[in-house]
Amino acid sequence: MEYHRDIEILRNISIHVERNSVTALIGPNGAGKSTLMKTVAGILKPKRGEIILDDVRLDGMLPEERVWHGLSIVLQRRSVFPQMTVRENLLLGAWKIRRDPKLLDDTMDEVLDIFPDLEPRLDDRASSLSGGQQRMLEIARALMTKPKILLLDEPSAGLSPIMVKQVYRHIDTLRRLSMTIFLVDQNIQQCFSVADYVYVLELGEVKGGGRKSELASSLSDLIRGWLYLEQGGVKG
Amino acid sequence: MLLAPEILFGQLLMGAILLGGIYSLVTIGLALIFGVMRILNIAHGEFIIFGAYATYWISTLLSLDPLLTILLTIPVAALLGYVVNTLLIRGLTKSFDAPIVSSFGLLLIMQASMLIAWSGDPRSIVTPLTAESISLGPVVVPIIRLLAFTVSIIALTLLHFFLTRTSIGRAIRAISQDSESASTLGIPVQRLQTFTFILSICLAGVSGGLVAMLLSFQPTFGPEFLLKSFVVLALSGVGNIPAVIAGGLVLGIGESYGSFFLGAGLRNVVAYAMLILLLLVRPTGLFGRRGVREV
Repeated sequence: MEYHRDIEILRNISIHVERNSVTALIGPNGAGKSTLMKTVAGILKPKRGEIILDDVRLDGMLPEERVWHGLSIVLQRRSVFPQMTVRENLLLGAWKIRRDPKLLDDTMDEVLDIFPDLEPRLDDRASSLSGGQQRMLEIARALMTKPKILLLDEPSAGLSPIMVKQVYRHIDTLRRLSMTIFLVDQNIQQCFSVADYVYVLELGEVKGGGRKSELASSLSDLIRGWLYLEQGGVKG
Repeated sequence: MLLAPEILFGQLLMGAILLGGIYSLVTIGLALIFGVMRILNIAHGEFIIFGAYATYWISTLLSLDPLLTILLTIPVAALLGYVVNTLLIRGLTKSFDAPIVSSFGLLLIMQASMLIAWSGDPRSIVTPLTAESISLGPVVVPIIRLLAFTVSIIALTLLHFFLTRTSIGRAIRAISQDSESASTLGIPVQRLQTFTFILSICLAGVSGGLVAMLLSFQPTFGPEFLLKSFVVLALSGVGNIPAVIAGGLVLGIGESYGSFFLGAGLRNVVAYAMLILLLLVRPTGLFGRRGVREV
């Protein structure tokens, strides 16, 4: 998969996300993790390659069309609609099911069961929530789309350690509910804590992947290598 | 006959409020397109003038009441909006400059076309109520102005409820805040931008029909309405509908009192002086907050 006219940011990427599991993509700064997520979501356009979800080719589709096929993404940046209430944000996530009031109500109840902290804030403006609460709202809103697969792009970015723990507790809850999740995060420790499968991305290429248990032993070597790269060294 | 100061004040205030309501409706189309599509539609005034001519001709040719004719102006404006969006706007929304240039070209084309079709002669729509007025205590109110104000406020109220209480309206507001995020929720951004453009042209058409009952108009009057809309937008801080109504009222008040004390010839000078002063003192608008943009 490549994107952009001149610079090849991603290449030789082949990732399989197992149904009802959490697949994490880890890698150093600038490896292309977020680029990959945005490409899968349709925000960036690849030059070539295939993105397939349940036998349906998604590449070539607009981001909104991919949502209708069951793909939902939580962006790395803050993406709540700040001038709208928490309820309005959630209802926007339910665009796909807006004509089915019962399904919409049921989905809202399910989502609020997972994120009970949002319930008392339903009529507050999203901008009044803390950074961590806004992240919860983003994940909750993505769940309102009733996704077959949920993409989480750096869910811990910009959050305090306490909030990171909370966010990952919710991700773990989703995992236990058999949600299919594709996760990217710099926080490798937290990533590993929830992942079933792990892929490693370095300089735009997948360097390996597999069950978490198979990769755990080589993790410390990987991180040492990335730290070396980030300090300006050339990896041999 | 000299009026007592309090009656004069009341008369001016009533005129200002009625004028402000119309200004709000004149502006709202521009605000919607800017908020949702990030397009500064330079041809906005031409759509208002087109609405005035459409109302004039439909009313004249079909011998219909001008106020009722406005209902027929809406589909005509919608058709024009659809054609313009398809030919000139869609596909340019990713750029900020291209639609400005494109809509400036549209301004010239529409102005020239209307001049060729309908000449530069000033026209106005005369209704059976044009010369009628009612008295509210000591204040005399021309009925046609009151009706135009009422229609404007009804149109703006309906729009407000549409944007805040319906799922499509909510989605349009979401696009105005963050179109990329909206697209990741399955909201059809481009389709709703097209819808918003057409809706805005319809609102411009309605406001043009109302303006034609209050003032004489000709094909070259469009830029004046565009500039008035800029002033209202600047006053409201590109905010929501209540802010646009408040912005329209402030402009109406400024113009009415300004032209009374400085002379009617300086009416526009007052408006632009308000714009310049505001940009210097409070560039986010009277009712706007930094970084907040909504429709």
